[in-house]
Amino acid sequence: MNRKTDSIYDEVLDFIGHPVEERFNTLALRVFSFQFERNPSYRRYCEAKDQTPDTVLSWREIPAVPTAAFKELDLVCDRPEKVFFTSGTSQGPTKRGRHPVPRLDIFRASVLPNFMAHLLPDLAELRMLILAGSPVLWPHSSLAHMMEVVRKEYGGSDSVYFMTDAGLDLEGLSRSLREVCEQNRPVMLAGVTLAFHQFLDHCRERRMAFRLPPGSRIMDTGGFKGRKIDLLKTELYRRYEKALGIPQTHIVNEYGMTEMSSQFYDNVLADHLNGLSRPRHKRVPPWVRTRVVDPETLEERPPGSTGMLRHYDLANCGSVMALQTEDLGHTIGDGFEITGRAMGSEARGCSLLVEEILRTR
Amino acid sequence: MTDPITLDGFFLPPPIKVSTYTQLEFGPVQIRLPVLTATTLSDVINQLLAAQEQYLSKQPTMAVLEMIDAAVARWLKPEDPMREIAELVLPNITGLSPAMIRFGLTLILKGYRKDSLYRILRHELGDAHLLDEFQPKKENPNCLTRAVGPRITTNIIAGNIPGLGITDLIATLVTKSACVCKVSSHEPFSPALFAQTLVQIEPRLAYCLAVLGWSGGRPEAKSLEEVAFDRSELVTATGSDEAVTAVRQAAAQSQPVSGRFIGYGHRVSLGLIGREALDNLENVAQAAALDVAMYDQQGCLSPHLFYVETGGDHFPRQFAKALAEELKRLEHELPRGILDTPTAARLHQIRSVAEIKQADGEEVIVFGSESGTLWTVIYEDDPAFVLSPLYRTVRVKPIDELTHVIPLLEPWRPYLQAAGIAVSEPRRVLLAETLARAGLNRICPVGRMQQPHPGWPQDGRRFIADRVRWVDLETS
Repeated sequence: MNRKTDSIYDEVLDFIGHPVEERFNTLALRVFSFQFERNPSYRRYCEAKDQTPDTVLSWREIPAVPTAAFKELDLVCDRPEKVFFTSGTSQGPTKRGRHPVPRLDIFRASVLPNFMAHLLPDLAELRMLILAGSPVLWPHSSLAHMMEVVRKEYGGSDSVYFMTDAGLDLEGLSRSLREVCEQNRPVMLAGVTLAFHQFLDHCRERRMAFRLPPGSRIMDTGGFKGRKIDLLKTELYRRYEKALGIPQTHIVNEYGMTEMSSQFYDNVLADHLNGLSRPRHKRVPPWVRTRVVDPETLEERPPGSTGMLRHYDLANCGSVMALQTEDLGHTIGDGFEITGRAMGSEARGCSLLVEEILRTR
Repeated sequence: MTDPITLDGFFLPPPIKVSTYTQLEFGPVQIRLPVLTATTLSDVINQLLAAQEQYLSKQPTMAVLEMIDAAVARWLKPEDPMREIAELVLPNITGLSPAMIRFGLTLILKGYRKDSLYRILRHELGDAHLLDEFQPKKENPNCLTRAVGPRITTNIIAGNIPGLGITDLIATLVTKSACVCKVSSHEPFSPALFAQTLVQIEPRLAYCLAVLGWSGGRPEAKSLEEVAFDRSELVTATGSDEAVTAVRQAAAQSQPVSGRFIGYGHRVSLGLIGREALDNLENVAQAAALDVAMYDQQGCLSPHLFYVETGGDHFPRQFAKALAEELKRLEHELPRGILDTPTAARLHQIRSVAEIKQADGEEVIVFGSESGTLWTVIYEDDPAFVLSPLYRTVRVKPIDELTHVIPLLEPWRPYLQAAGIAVSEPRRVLLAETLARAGLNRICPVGRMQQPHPGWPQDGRRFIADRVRWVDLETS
């Protein structure tokens, strides 16, 4: 890496640490120029669209790369320190997407404050019970990497992963939850929605329910496959509440993807602790912008109308910042909500990974 | 059309009445469907059986064909009020453009005139009067034979192509069977409108029909399906594999073992262009574009991709470019319909992935409508057979010899329907033999993929013959 490279990465690091709204556009354009220069496939894509650093004046005009392109091309500006893969098997009918990350410190820098702001706004020190695989079990998963970053920083020494190569350790998790109730020490349950599902089914079969100590919370991610999300979510959160005694204000859904370094979290816990009452939606961290665009005209959709979600993530400075996702949603207040997926999109995300594990048990 | 309007998507024989309805909304159009109980449906079926016994079973086949012909003739007249309603309402229901509805309805129905139906009967049964009376059996002087249709048939129809469900009604009536027709929530209108047309021609024939709806898979649908399937000698279902499988299972539980089931599930089609056909590049591209554009590629006969042979005077990529130009031209003549956001997003995504592969220097060239996702041609040298996301999105792939597609088709064998081919005459039969063995049911010229000959073997089946049973009269 030469000095120029380091300088742009360091500028992004600095921005994430001290975000200044007015500086976003300038920095985004600098990152765009950098990626245009360093990534030949991306450059030619931009040139074909006639959107180059010479013509693009606002971050809104930066050409977005479809996330599915990560299956086809190496979209990276430098030698990667780590490559994350989307779930799925390499022999399967669908190719796996790969996200090369040249600097994991930027990834980490974007994970921590955002997680803190939405899961730990009260600065609680919580034991983490993780319903996902560790980086040892899921070496290519960006979710596993993220969880580990969070666990190391905030989780305490008695935090545990409950996903094993034999599947979810249901007995171990039940035991830990009983302990938690006895000790009356609040806890954070974090993991993939499908694993939560499996645990809730397990509880129902055994007529088991917990009343976790007040202040306990849940972070779940993925797993709705885009169909009737609202309905499923309401139903699922009711089940969380019933089986674990965690109120909806303390159930925070995370939305992330392998191709993107930053994550989005629900506003509910932060709002609750700030005495605000707003509908559940995803908040956008200061180093990210999200647009909702019409798939036909590519114009921005009016607030509340459904369109494709397009993210601009400065933390993706080493790969591609502007991402066209297959997710559909609409804006709500200062954020957005996901309402579905582009029709026919292949099942993807962490859920598939877990499904495979559940299936092979 | 902007004023809201409510229309009936059902047709029930008198004196059956229902008091509760449900409505399906399609923009300004609302389609009303009855909420049925098992008892009401049972009454409907009693009524249909009586009408079939007293009227339809006694009509000569030619009389039935005449009545169907009269109804079809009305739908083929642009100024006919029934046709006008169909043209006005179906764009709202299906999202297809008005021009496409106009063109498509004519294309479908013109194959069901009296003469065509007569020829189908002659071809499939050997004698059009076998549905009327015993006829001498060929090769056996001591035996007579005849065909008898089901007393009642239940047709579960799909909604992907507007008007196509009408052909199920026609096939059922030709066999002199009464008909319970369950419409699709995607196009719950044209079958009832056709029944209304029949009322004006011969009410006694129309009263052998019931057109209604229920949501398959829902608990309340189960009791209705039980009643319908239990009393139907034949159940046919058209739709997605999941839908057809569900009906098949329900029918297997309710029908007597002797009952018949015919299922038409997912099917895919493709085009094959021989190197010699590229000499007429413009013509063959024009023909291919029509196949892609028709019904916005929603039909089982719509091509997902074209394999184009190398080694001729033109390159396959030139065909891709010419195809793109023709699709652009059709944008005005037969505009594409309106898409929902998830579908448009999918098309956008697929096009942009191809664009970035092209930028990366892969053998991919994207031709697309300038604005939106109106049409997309993706030329790529990866020979794999991949499904299109449809709505006028088509891939063009070079191949050094057309017969080399056979191994590529193997994984899709259970789903193959039609191949549109453009090759010189000496090659045609040989290629067709190969394709027939590969699983295809219909091979036709490019440009004719959406205009099958009446009675074409959909899913490899016969239109009428598969619906009847045979009775022998042995004289000694």
